[in-house]
Amino acid sequence: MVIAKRIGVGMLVGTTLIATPIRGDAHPLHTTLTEVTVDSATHTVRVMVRVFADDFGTAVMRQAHLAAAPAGRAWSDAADRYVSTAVAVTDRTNRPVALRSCGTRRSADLLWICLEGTTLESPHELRGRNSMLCDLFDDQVNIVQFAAGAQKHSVLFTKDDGVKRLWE
Amino acid sequence: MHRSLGKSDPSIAAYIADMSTLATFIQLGFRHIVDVEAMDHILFLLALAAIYRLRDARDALWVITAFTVGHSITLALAVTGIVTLPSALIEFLIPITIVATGIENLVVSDRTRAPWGGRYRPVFAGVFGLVHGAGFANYLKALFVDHIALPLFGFNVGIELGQITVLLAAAVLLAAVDRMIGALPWRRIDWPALRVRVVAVSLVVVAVASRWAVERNPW
Repeated sequence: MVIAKRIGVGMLVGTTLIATPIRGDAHPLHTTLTEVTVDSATHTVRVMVRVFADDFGTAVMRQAHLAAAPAGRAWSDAADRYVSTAVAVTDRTNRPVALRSCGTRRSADLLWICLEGTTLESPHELRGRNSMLCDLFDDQVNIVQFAAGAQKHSVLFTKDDGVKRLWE
Repeated sequence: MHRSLGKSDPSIAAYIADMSTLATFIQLGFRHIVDVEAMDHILFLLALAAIYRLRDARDALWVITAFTVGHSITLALAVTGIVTLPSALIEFLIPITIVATGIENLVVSDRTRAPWGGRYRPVFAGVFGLVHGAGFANYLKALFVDHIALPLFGFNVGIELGQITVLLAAAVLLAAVDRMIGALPWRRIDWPALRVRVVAVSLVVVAVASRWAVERNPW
């Protein structure tokens, strides 16, 4: 009986070790944080995306079919293209607000990407889309924090989400 | 004089903003734990739950809550910058906590004879929670450089809800394992079904987590 138990234990452990397809990679929190701020007086929409620089670089290179990150202008063009496909603010008819870059800065592992545009749409009618890094990670969750004056609201965007109202 | 309150009232607007932030981060924490990619956390919960039956639900809940308290502490300390934790070491220690829990399941065959009647488990789970919390911390710390209290609280509530969900799923799975063991025609009576289940689940958990520990070895 003891031998049978030992054989059973050995087979269980051996089969588990050999058959398990699960790799031991850590489970990172795949998240970005985007602040969308509307200034009603100037009709300005400012979008500030916080994203991990390494993941962002991978996503940009994948979209641009690049093996390595290019330098200078080519890189910023590729990055702008990626951001414009991933992040949008739209009016109630889903017409996108034209957003232009207002700079990018890096602090430690994080990139802060700034976009700015103008719209005559009421802040409470604005919609948004954020698929940043969803092409890389199935479990990507993008948080969008919307602010118009004292009013704030948060919305989550995941892989299969399209345009959502930023204010409920 | 009548004053109507609406979304534009500053106090109402602040309340709505807080509730919205809270709900968002509860969802974030919940999704993080129930995601199939979170196998290290799920396996740890399975190792913790392996010794319990449905009638032990209260004990299991205590242990899981202690785990949440543990990871909330390190998460708060790391995110607020009070302690800095090396990611590679933490990622290595997470499977070690799983292996240790599995080994404890294997070694302690009679919990009534275990030290303090086996009531040390919440402490054990709380200490290991400190390690798991450090695993989340580096990501949250980088993203939330301002207004961290409410997101952190919401994230922890979401993690707790996610853990309870995983625990419920584990209870169903383990009950099915018990039925399967009970139905085995060749099983001898020298081990109770619960012990067979604990040994089988713990061996699998220890085997998988040991492999992860080797893969994540930072040295």
